[in-house]
Amino acid sequence: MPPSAPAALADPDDDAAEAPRSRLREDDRETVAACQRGDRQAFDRLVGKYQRDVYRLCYRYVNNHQDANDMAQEVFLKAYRALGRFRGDSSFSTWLYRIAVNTCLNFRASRRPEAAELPEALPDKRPGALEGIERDERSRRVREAVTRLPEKQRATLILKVYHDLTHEEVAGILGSSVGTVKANLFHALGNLRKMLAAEAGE
Amino acid sequence: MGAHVPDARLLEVLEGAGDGDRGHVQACPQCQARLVEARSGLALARAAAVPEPSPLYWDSFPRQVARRLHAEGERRAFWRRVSLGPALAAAVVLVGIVTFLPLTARQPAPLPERPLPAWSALPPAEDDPGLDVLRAVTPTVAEATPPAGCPRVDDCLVALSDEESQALADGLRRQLGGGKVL
Repeated sequence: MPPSAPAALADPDDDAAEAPRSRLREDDRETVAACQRGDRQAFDRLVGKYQRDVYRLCYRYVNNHQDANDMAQEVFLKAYRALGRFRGDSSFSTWLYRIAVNTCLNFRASRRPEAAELPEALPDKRPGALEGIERDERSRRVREAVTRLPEKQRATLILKVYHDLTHEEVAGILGSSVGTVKANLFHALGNLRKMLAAEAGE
Repeated sequence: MGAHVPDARLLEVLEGAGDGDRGHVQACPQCQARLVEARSGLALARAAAVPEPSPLYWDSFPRQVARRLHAEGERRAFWRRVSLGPALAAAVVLVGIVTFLPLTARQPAPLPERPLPAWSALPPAEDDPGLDVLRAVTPTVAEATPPAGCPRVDDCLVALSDEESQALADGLRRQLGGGKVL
């Protein structure tokens, strides 16, 4: 992955795996070339490397583990089928994100009636548990609000804020201009704030 | 005060860049309010982490993908095998049609059979018993005086009809039959 532009929007509180990955992403050219020669183990290495990114991207769209798991697997299956046509015009990760975003959009277009989300954890009786529950609830509300954003705004916010991609990379994935990406992101942040304020009765 | 800062440039201010617009934003309550709202939205968005699956999940994920790839490969191989037989049969039929159809289309229709001439039913000339008769009579006939209208006896013989030839042969057989096998 190329070095990122100012990462001011990256999530500073995430764990190491979700910290800015631009530094962590090595050049995938050799691994991709091995895959294209039919080396299945090389593809397993790519899956291991990008599984968290793809899963989290999918989760942001569907907001539940089961669907996110199915979609993430689907993304890698599609990538495997299309790998022979990958020419390296963009980085592998950008190409993979593009597949992931398209898979998410297709899934949302054909999704079944939403099932009630299962609680993420059993109630915790230890000290500080209440704060944890409140934090989880806030997270859940924000994630739901993100899924209600207009399509382009949602994709831009997810890729920029949660995946720390540069504006140029997001533009490449979504097929839009850098200026449009910036404007969409600005609208997304404002809309998110308004939706959550309306829910809270502010 | 000039026009308000466009959204894309206001985002640059939010990201810590956009020095050229910073002065305007500080002096413009409306742009400042938009910036505060976006900053607040960003803080909210950052607070919404995705629940982290267990490490076991990440261990099993590549295996799940590999299993699905393997199953998909087997499915494709099966359908390739299944479709190979009919495809080959269809190809053979197609090749046959392409090869023979133009030939049969161009072949002229058989002509109606013409009635065969009487002589065609006779055995080959060398096996014809009448040949011996002719050979036997030829010296006699050659010496005979040709009838009027026939300059040579050969020409008269050739001009005879089937019935006349038969009658001549019978007559000669009767005259020469005494002890000679014809």
